This record gives sequence, structure tokens and C-alpha cells, in this order.
Amino acid sequence: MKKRAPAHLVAVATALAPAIATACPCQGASGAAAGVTTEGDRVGASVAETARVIDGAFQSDGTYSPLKAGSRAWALDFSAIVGFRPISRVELAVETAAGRQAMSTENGGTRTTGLGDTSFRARWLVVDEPMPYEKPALPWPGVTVVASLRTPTATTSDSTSGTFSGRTGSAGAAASSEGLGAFEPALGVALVRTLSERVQLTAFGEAGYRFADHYLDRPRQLGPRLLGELTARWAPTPGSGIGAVVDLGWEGAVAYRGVAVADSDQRILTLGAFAYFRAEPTKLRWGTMLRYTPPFDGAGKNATRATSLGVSLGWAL
Amino acid sequence: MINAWSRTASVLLASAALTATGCSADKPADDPKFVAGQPLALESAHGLTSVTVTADGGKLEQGTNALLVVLGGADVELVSASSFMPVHGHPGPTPAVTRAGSAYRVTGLEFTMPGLWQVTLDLRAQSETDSADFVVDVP
Repeated sequence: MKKRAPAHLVAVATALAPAIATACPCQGASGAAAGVTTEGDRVGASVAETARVIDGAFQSDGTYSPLKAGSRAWALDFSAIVGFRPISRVELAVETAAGRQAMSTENGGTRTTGLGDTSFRARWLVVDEPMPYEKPALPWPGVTVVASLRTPTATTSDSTSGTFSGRTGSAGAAASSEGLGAFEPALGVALVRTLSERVQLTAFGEAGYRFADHYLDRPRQLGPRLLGELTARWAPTPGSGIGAVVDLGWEGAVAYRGVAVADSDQRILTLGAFAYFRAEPTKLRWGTMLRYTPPFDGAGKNATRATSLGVSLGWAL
Repeated sequence: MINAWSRTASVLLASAALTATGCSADKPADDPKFVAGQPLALESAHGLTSVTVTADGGKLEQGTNALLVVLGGADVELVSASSFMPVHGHPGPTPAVTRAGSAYRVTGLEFTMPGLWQVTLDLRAQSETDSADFVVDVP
């Protein structure tokens, strides 16, 4: 489900979200509502390294098949995000990536190294959760709107000799920050609900549209993309937390030369776990994220199955 | 059960996507799907010839495969063949095409990973060119 802002990067950034104070909305958002800065920061930055191992793929009927013995596929992404808050409720961010990916079979293999796509993102906290002392009749969730534009700055894929494009997907554990090859504007909404001093739930939905492109030296139109994500976070201290994520991504059928390829829509279910730590009183933050697509039939369609592990280091001021 | 849930969710997501984006999807290309163990009969894209494809050894799998191609048109020849993963956007290694009596053998057709592959046979008859496409869901 290639390619949107790299899901793993968003996830790692999520892990970086600091808990300012456990108890109320001011503890900071989790999940997709979290950026590289919090409302109390002005600027922030983070770098992340994510390793992905691709174990197999789902056929068009959802049947999972592992890679043949002797075949290997992996990728290593290095990504960076810089965020800025012109006002406390809005974060503007830009992120880019570089990566190396490879696939080998018993008959040979390919390796490519190159720049990834660049994404611009705006997060706007439209409605904050009620404070505990307000005791509203309807405890509404915090609402954050996330708008993004992914731009195809990645190295052009070799469509004539390569055996692996890096477009392993754009959602879930297989998400690559390497070339999607098309402009993708996306709009998402995150609902954040703090249940107790330590527990927070986030629901996120996002839709993206891909413009037509010639990335593979032929007219192409990637299908639209949808993502639904649920995040649960437990923050035992103001500066640390762990959490779990489940998301379901979907991408429409791809079209070449104006004709959609039948049965080429994608789907992928991904499970994840994260942890973060803020090294008070410094402004450094550390996070890690593990993402995994289970290898059972129906968990995906036309998508690669992968396991990814990312680590990140962030700083905010 | 999870499979059913996942498919239901997928349909809902798909419907929502089309609604949300206002996208009118192109009409899907009904490239015939080639299933191992059964010969595939199809017409070339511009109607130059009929094409019958069988899998050498009766199976299609990850790794190296071979096809036997029989063309209906007397003057038509199979020039080349190629494979491509339309979803992931990458080709496979270029296979070899050799004449085998009245048929053609496509060898070295390597499916590097499981999933949906599109195979294209490039055809020529004197000054005309044509092609025949089919898809394979590689297990």
C-alpha cells in the first residue's frame, strides 16, 4: 500500500512526541496528531534510520506467498524532518529521505541508492480536548487536521533493467520513503482522546490523491490512497511512553497509458509498537518503532510483506 | 474471519476513496489471467493474430519459467517478450525468445517475487507491430 508521507517516518516521529505532563491534553498528542514539535516548542528536528526486510508478497486474491528460498530483499532508509510552529497550534514541517535497497535471487540481483521523496506537511490542532476540571457532558476528542504534499524528488527508477523498484508500498511496514514517483496531496484528520493520566487513544484517517506521472518512462496514474490508523499510548512518566499501532492502508488500481490494470488495487494491514524517551532536562528525544505485517492470507493484497525497525533522535526548542 | 474482515474493510475504504477523491477510475484492462496447467488463448491487441500460451512443465512459480507460444497468423512472428510488476513498478529480467518448429519458446522468464505480473509478447507481421498481454498471479 508504494507509497504518502512515509508511514514509518510518521510513526517514528510519533514515538518522539514528548509527554509534557501526564494528566491532561497538554501531555502532547500521540499517533498521527503528533509532530516533531509540541505546542510549547518553536522549532524541532529529527533524524531516523529505518531498516526493512521484505519476506514475501500478497497475490491479487490476498493469498500470501513468501519469497523463494535464496531470494532476499531489504531496504535501509535515512530520513530527516524539520518542523516549525508559526503559532502554537500549527506545525509546518518538511521531511526528506535517502535510502539503499536491494533484492537478490538465485540468478542475480539489483541494488540502488538514492534520494527519497520530499514531503511538506502542516498540522493544525483545530480543537483541543477538554481539561479535566471542565467535566463536559460530552468529552470530545482533540481534533488535528494534517495536510501534506509528497513531491517526487527521488532518484528516477530504472524501469528497464532493475528487478526491484523500491516501490514496495506506501503504507504499513513496507512503506518506503524512496520514490513514489508522483505528486501526492493528502488530507487527514486525527482524533485524540486522553482516557486517564497515562493512557491516550488516537484514531487517524487520511486520503491521498496521486497525480499522473512518467516516473517509469511511461504514462502512469497511481490510484488514490486511504489509511486508517489506531494508536494507543501508555505514558508511565512525563518523559517516556510505549504504545501500539494498527493500521489498514489501501491504494486504488494503477493505470498505464490511461488503462487501469485489473485487480491491481492494494491493501495492507500492519501492526506496530513504539517507545519513546525524553532525556530531561535536555531537549533530546529518542524513539523506536517496530512495524510488522502478519503473514496470513487476507492481511494484504498486491502488497509486499515486511518487517521494519526504525530508530530516531529528535531535538526541539 | 480476519480475511473476510480485511476484505470488507478494503471495499469500504475503496468506496470511500472514490467518494473522497471524486476520482473516476479508468475502466480496468481485462488482460487475461494465465493460470498454470491450462493453456491460455487470447487475441493480440490489434487483432493481428491469435496467441496460445502454455507453461513449460505446467507450472508458473517464483524463479525461472519457460513458455511455449503458438501464433495463429502465418506471417506473424514473436519478436520479444518482457515481464513487469504493474503494482510495484519494476520489470523482470528480459527473457529469450527462440523458434521451436511452428512455435516459440520463451525462456529465462524470471518472476523475482510473488504477486501480480504482466507479461507482454511483442509481435510483428511485415511492417505491422502488435502485442499480446496477459497477467500471472505468481504464488
